[in-house]
Amino acid sequence: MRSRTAAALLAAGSIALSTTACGPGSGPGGDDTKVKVGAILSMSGVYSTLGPAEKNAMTMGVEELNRTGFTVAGRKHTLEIGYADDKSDPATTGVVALRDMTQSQKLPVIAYGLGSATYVPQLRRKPVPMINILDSSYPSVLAQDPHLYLTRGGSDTYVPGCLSYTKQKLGTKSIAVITAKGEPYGEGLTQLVQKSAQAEGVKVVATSDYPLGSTDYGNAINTAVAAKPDAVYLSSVTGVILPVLKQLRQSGWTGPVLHSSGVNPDQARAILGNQFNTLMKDNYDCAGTLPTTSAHPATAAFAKAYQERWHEYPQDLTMWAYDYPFIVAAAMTEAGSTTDPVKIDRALGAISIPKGTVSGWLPNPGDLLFTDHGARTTSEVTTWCPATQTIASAMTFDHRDGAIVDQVFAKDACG
Amino acid sequence: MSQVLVNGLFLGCLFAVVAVGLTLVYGVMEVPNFAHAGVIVLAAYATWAAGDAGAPFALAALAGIACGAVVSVLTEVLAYRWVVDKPAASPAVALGLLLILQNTALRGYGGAGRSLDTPYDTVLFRIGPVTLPGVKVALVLLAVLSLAALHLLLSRTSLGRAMRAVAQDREAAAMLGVPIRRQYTLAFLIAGLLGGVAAIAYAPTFQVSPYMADDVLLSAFVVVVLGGLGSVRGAVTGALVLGVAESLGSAYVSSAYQSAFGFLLLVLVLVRWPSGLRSTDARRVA
Amino acid sequence: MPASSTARHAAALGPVAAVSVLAHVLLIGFQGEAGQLTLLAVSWTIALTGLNFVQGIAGYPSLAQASFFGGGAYLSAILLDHGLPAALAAALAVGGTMLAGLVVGLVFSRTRGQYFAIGTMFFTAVTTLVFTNAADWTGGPDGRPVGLGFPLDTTLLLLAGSLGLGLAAFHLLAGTRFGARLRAVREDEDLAQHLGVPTARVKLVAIVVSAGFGAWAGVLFAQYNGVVAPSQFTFVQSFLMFVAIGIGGAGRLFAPLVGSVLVLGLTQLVNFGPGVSQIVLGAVFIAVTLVAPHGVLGVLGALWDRIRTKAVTA
Repeated sequence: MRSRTAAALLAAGSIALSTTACGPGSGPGGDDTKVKVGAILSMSGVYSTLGPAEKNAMTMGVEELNRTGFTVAGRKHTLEIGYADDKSDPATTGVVALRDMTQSQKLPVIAYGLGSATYVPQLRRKPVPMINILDSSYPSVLAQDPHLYLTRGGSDTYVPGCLSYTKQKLGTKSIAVITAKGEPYGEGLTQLVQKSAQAEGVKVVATSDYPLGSTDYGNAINTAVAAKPDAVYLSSVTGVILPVLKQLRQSGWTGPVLHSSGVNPDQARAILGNQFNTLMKDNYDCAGTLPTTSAHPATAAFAKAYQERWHEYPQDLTMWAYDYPFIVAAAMTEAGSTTDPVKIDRALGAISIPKGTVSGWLPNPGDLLFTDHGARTTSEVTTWCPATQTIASAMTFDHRDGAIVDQVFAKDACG
Repeated sequence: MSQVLVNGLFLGCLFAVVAVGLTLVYGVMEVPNFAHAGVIVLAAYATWAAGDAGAPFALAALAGIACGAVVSVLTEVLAYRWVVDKPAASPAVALGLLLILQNTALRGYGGAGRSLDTPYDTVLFRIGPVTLPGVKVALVLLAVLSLAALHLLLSRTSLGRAMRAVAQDREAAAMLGVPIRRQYTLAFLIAGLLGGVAAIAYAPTFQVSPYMADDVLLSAFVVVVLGGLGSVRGAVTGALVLGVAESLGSAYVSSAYQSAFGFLLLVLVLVRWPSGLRSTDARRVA
Repeated sequence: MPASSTARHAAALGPVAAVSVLAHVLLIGFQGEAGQLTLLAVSWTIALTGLNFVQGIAGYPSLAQASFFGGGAYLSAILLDHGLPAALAAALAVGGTMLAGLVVGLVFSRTRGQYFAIGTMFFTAVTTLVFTNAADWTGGPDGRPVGLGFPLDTTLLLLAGSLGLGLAAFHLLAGTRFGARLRAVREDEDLAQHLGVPTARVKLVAIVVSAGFGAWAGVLFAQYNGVVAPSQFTFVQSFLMFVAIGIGGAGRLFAPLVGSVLVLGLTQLVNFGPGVSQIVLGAVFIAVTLVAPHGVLGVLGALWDRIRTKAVTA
């Protein structure tokens, strides 16, 4: 057995070596019009609501891009994405995948969702540009390393919408915040809620937290409800806040619940069970604009195509995932190289919004896609409609220099 | 404050149901049954699957409890029985079984949490400043009823007397003609039933997942040590003490370290009494 | 007598040196998935060599080894962030973890069997809570990056060297009075105590030594991996380490190596889909416990003895 394991190790090693030798861009092989890049996604584990949808969208994006291909230094190319599952544990599984992709396979660009900080030491050893298609945590992941890019606005661009909307439309004067402790996205949200509550003149009457992975939120919920707030804000992602929402409703809370998790109807049904429609009543979600509620024709068309092909509700991240191949192609064209991470990295900062993309980005000054490595997206507040058992846009807005601008309210969100 | 104490009572009832199953098995067979967490998980999934297939809740709950009993008895028949003469091997076997059971659940249902619906999900009682959600009242009722039934079984029936005899002195009981093997199976059967009860009592407040019982199991082991390995009465008392202690610690010190307060208690006990709070033989399994 | 003892040492230490050199070759040659497997196998072997004193020779079911492994990894990462030189950070991390081991030992070395397993398991559960929740130091549930204190070449050299030196130290220590006393604890603890063996103190020393091995392995693992997270040091990991020693053959020199390779190979190499490899591992472990209590090495040793006797008698 021991020798067999050693043999397996040797075999794996020789495969690794041979892929290195025959990798893209080396030698006059006939394959070098096909360019391979990487994507590390959460296909399984706690965040498995994210990865499969991202992969679906990327598959569509690659197919669309390859219909015409893209030109680099006068030659036509097609794109291929090598996928890896980080098992929702970037520090253990994701970082291994990154080493494999950048050191063994020599892939020049990697897309990823979670775990920015954990990839930094490996990026120091072997720098490549990494494009984040998901993580809007505050403070921004972009502060971690100069090789990271973010295809969407940070939480700070949409959290203020929650407070602004509920104050104007529901007359909310006080709010209680319940946080998932140790979950960076949720902790960032709580900081932002406190900031924007102050700006809006809404009082934060209670803050409580529960440890990530705990099973009983009784104490945190009691603290929040006992303060008699007008609304409760739940800080964290879908999979974490929905069980809290359930216990919050079980404890007798009937007021509005706010969050920035991007819950969609499929997830609500799966996680909350049969009573999801009752439990989701009076829910307000402030986050990035969704494909289904977007007014952008290209985005709406993508949402329709996605739904038809995969029979599931497209999450916000599907647009950014779909656009990843187009960003890569534009950067490689700009760089004049399909293999050099340094040139591609530099090119990413110089490209404008690529044709064919569906995210509906707002152009940065100078018509650039990325400024300071970040792209700009609009935000919206959605509300749950019990009659149709789905979500609808209640307000869209943009955020500039710490203030909400371009607010547009839906006349009657639930129709 | 009163709400915190009530939360402690809920926790205590949950710990009691789990810990009594552990201590019963320990009393009769001297096995630290780490695999009990896996039994609870599979019972919870069985309930969920039955409910998902359209069975009414009561039926699904019975299916879950039955599943707990069957799995628990299987662990005894297929594994524990063969190490009864080798106490050093039993922690290893228990942990091996835990791996198998948890990963069976992971394989069968995936890692994502499932929600278990009950008819009393939205029921709510209010007594002054204290709120009592229906699911937690159900938890207390289930715990009290099942433990009362166990008490009657142990004290009033010949089966119970035989089990107590085995727990007190295995060899003597064997000489007096008590069928030892049947007692082992019976202990695991009762533990499995209690595991099933624990699963349906507490899964509705959280999600059903392969690792849902890990924390509860650790706390239940603290209870077993506090109450004296093998003592049912000790386990119930210990469970209530630990439940209140964890709830107080969680409310007033840090909710993140809730189960660490149990560890602190465990350390204090083991420093003072390295071989645990061993109850007198007469009170074991009673 | 000295001649045969030299021969005995040479017979053990020769293969140890060879394994050490092989480890270095593999660490340099492999990257990506295979590299990770090699890294885990080497660092686990170092950590498990420590566990082999407590669980292996003394027969005490310790489920604290992943805590010590994690303690070294996290402490060194934190100290490096405070600007300490790499060697000092590593030394302090090992020292600090051994201190934690001393506390664990003081509390639990007086307990027996089941209580020891429950107590050490709970200790690991609590360290996982700390790794997960003390986010200011540990980075929380998603882990924290590790400052790269040693160049990669040095880390690889240290990993391979520590593997060999660790095994050699185990071989030599097992032959001393300390080793004999640990064996006495395994055979019959009450009798040993009666005969004047300070059993509690012997167990205490073994636990502290195991903490040292675990912590040093953690330091090196963190340096190579560049990031540490709670999921790498949970009680499931502790348990898999415990399984590895059991499968390898408790108390035998190469048990940590054989056990690590088998456990890691089964969980990482063979892809049956989620969970299945662990189910297989659980079943294999129970089977080994029931059928071959001396592990794979015990079975191989018995086979070798039988062949040799046959050869001699023939």
